[in-house]
Amino acid sequence: MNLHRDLLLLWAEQGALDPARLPEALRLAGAFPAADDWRRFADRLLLALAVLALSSGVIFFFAYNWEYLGHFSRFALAEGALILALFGVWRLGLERLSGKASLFAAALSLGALLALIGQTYQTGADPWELFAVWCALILPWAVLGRLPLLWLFWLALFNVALYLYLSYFNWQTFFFVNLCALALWEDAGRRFAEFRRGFAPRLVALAAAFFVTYGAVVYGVWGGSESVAFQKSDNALLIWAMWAAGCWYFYRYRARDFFMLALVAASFLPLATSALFRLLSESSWRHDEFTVFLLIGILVVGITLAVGLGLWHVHKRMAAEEQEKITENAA
Amino acid sequence: MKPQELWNILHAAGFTRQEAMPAISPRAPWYLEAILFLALWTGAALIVLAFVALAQDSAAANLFFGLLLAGLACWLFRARPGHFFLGQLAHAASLCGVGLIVLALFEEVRGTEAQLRFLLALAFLVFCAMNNFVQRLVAASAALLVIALLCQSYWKDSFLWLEWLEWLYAGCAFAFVLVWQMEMKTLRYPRHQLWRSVGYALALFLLVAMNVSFSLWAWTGSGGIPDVPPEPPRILLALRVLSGAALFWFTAWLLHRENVPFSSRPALMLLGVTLCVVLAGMEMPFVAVALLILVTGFAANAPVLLGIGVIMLLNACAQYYYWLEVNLLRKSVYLLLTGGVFLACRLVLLKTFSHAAVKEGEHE
Repeated sequence: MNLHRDLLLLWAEQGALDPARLPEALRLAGAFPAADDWRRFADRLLLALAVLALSSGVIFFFAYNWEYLGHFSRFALAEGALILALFGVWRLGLERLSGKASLFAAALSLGALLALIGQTYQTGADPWELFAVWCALILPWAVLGRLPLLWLFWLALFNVALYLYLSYFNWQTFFFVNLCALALWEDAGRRFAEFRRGFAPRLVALAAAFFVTYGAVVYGVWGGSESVAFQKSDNALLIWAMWAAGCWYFYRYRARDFFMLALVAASFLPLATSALFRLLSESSWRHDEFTVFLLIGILVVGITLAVGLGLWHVHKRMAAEEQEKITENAA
Repeated sequence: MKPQELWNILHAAGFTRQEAMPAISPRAPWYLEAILFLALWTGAALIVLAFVALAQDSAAANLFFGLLLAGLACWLFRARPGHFFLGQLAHAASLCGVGLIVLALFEEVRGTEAQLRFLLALAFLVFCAMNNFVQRLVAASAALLVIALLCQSYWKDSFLWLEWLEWLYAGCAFAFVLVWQMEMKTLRYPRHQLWRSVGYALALFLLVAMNVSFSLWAWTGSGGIPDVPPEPPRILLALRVLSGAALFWFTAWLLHRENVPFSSRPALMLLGVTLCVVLAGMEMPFVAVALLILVTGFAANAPVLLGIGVIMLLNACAQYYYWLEVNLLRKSVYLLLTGGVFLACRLVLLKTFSHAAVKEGEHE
């Protein structure tokens, strides 16, 4: 949203700004792009369009000719892409963003090469081995590159390899894996600037929250189903409670990240809804659908509003604490 | 830039009428509002389901409670705009109220077309009555969906299933340009948000319809519908031409807005580049619309629109791979040539702008 523009229009409406000079004020505030901004945009847009068209053209060309290519030609292509990306890393260096982008491209190209090897040499290997080997091979690059996006990709590959290895979905395993990943990420954030805050740890936290919420709802509230009864967990709700309490304490008082607190609330809401459903479906009202749905609906709305209000107060409190800290530091 | 910093700059330049900055209501983060909105939708849907489960014919009761709740929401949005808690309460009331009104509507009104027309009227009423950006966005999106369904029901006897969507899509592209022009010209708060909500709804509709039309095309191409030719004729031709025209119109309007004479070198260059993009769009459907949204997002300083434009562009490229009008070899040659043309355009544009910058320096 164009917040500067909204603010200026609001101030003009309130009489704090001279409406006759509003267009000038909007230009001064940078509410709309200036001539230099347009030049940069046109330059980058045309470059991006050219890169997209050229790279798509190359991909389409090879896709057209793929079945006519021999094994050696295909390997030459896949390895050529990898070598080109690694050359880019060497030439540009890992300090620059373009070098890191080349490293990411190299990681992707390695996967394509491994898939080609698996396709060409049908050894009967299991699918999880492809992802596991891919993970192992790009791990040193992820360590050296210190690129959050590459680490996210690595974690996603690890999860896929694990899922394929287990051949079934075990929520506790995935929850603990991603929770450990989050803990390591927060620790890395204290040492390296690249891992401090940003969207990447939030995505990892989102994954952990998803798995623990799934476990709490399916197994904690509903006790699991017959098809997955062997995965029954009596501790699902306890695990959820410990995660929620730990997450709240750490991100409220130590790391101070409001998004994570909102995540805990987002996890609580479906859990509360499921619990209400379970409670009312076993009560004496269970045959009265109107009462059940109406009660649950009203309670869900009420709980949501209460949670929202609570979070809003916490948000304001955290913002005030932040402001106090800035003022103290300035003094 | 923080609001206080912005105020200080404006005050120093003499734009303000008072010393102190007016008080600003704190805003909740977008993810908090999204989480609460989703949960409120769930609660509202359950309440509506409760009335669905009611076995009696209670359309009048549904309508009564629906209007009551919708009226409460309308009052809350107007009485305390920007208040976080009351805003969430109003959202809940509005969702329940509108849901109950829709329920009453489907109980009393028979026939798909009549129901769709009432839904359209309801969406329009919600848009006008609810003084809230999200409510207006949802109402505008719902209205567009209903219009699409009405068009489809009107054209249902046509064997060209894509025909109705093609003209609607092209029409929406023009409407998109018009709406965002109005948004950027409007200097009254919060009137610009009216236009913005419609603008975003149109952008989302164009994104969704792009994928729907592709799916329909793929379905007809695979013989999924009886009496439809296995290879449809040159489809989406009107869409490609009209969406290119919309992009051209918007570029010309931007040049006029920035006071760049059409006869000047930069203007001719930009119009030339736009023409190249339009011609590229004649081979690749939806490219012109994707770029239209991207450029509009930049012009209006709307990052969400920029994101939608990028998604559409990548989507258009991916879909082009599967369009069977021409083979992959011809597509690859076309893309390589287009890429070369864009690089040449970039080079000429850089030279033109640096020439113009030098001239500006000389004048100063």
